[in-house]
Amino acid sequence: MLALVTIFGDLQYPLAKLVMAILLAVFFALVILYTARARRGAALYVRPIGGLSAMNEAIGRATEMGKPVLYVPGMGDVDNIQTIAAVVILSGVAKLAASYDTRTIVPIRSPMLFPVAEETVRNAFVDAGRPDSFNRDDVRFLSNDQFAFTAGVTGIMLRERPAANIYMGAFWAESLILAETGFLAGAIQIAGTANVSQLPFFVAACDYTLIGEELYAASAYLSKNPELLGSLKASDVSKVMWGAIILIGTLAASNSFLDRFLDRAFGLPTFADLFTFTTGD
Amino acid sequence: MRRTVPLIITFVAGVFMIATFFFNPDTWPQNAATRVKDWGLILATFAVVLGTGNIIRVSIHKARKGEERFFKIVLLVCLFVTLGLGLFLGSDEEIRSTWLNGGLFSGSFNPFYWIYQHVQLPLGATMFSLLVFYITSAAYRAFRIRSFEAGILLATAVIVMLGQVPISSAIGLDEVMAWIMSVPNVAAKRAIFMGAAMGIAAMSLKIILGIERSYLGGD
Repeated sequence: MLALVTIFGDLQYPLAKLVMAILLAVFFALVILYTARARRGAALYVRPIGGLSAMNEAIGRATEMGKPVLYVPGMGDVDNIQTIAAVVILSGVAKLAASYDTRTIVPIRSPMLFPVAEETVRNAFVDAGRPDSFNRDDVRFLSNDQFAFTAGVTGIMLRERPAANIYMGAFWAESLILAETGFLAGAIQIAGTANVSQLPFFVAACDYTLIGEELYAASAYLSKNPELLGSLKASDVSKVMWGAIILIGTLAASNSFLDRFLDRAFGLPTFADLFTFTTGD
Repeated sequence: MRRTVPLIITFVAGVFMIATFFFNPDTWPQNAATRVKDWGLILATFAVVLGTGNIIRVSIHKARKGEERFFKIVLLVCLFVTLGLGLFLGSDEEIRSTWLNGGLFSGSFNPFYWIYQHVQLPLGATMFSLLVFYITSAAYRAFRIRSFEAGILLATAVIVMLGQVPISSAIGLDEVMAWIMSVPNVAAKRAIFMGAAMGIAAMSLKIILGIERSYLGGD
C-alpha cells in the first residue's frame, strides 16, 4: 500500500516523495544560503570535533618518529558516499603529511577506487610542493576480498609499524581486526564511519572516533575553506529544524488534544486536515 | 579544463540522478537512471582488469628490487594459475565444455572450484574467526570501570548479555534487555542515522555544485 497525496486538483503523488522533495529543497536552500554568506566573509561558528583536531597531532607524531601514516579509506567502492568522503579527507591528510615529508600508505580494496586514491595522493604531494616525494608504491591495491584485504592491512601494520592509523569510510566485520591490530602495534588511531554497527568497535579500540555525520564534516574542518564551513553550518541549522519538526509532530501525532489545541490557538490545520490522504497500490 | 570538465559531468549526472528519484516508476527518466547504473557495473568490470594489472606491476617491481621477493613470486604464481584455470575451465563444480577447452575435460573435477572452496573460503573464515579474540581484548579495555560512563556501559552490557540466556526470563532480565535494545539503543541509532543522512545530503550537494573539489587536487 502506498500513501498518496492529492495535489493540484486531482493529481496524485506518493506522499513520502513529496515530503522528501520539500525537505530536500529547504536543506539545499540553506546550504546555498550559508555558503553565500561564507563567501561574503561572514564569521561562522562551527562546533569543534575532537577527532579532527587530533589529526594534526597524529601526523605530527608520525613525523617525529620518522614512521609513515597509514590511511585506510574503508571497504566501500567509489559509488559509496562514505568512500567519497574518505577520499576527500585523504586529500587533506596526504597534503599535511607531504608538507612534513612523511609517507602516507594507502591500502585499497576496490580496483575502481585505486586510480582515484593514487591521483588524490599524487595531487596532495604536488599541492604541498613535494611532487618528487610521491611514491607510487605507497598507494596499494591489496585485494577485492574482504578478509584478504584485512590480512594485507594488518600485515602492513606489523611490518612497517606506522605511527598513526587513520580509518575513514565504510567498514564492516573487519573494523575491530584492523583497530585492535593497530592498537597492539602501538599506533595512535583515528576512525570515522557512518556504519552504526561498527562504531562501538572503533570507539573501544581507537583513540578518537568520528561518529556518523562527523565523517562528512571532516573535509570542511581540515581545509578551513569558508564555503565548506558554510555548508557545515547549514547542516547544523537543518538538524535543529528537523529536530523541532520531529518533536512537534511526535507530540501532535501522539496527542489529539495538542493537535486540536494548535488548530484552535494558532489556526494551524490539524494533521488530519493537512493532507487529503488516499491509498493505492 | 582539467578541472572544469569533471565538475560539469558531476553536476549534470548528479542533478539528473536526484531528479529521477522524484519520477514515478516506468517513466523515461527512471528507465534512463537504471541504464546509467548499468554503465557503472560495466565500468566496475573493467576496473577489475585495472586492479589486476596494478598488482602485477607492483609485485614485479618489488620482486625485481628484492623486496619480499619470495612472497611476491608466490602471489604472482597463485594469481596466474587461478586466473588461467578459471578462464580455461570455468567456475562450476564440474568442468563444462567451453570454447577454450573444447569439451576436453567436460564432466570431470574442476581444480578452480576446488581452489575457491578449499583455499579461499577457509582462509576468509580463518580471518573472520580471529574476530572473537579481538572482541575479547577490546571488550576488556572498553568495560574497565575508569569513569561513571564506563560503569553504566558495563552494567548495561552485563544486563544485555545475561538477557540472552534462558534463565534470564526467571528474573525478568529478558524484558529489561528487550527494553534497552528497543528504546535507548534504537533512539541513539536513529539519531546517528539522521545525522548521517543529513551529512550525506550535504556532502552530495557540495560535490554536485563543485563546492567540494579537494578530491580533484590543486586547490
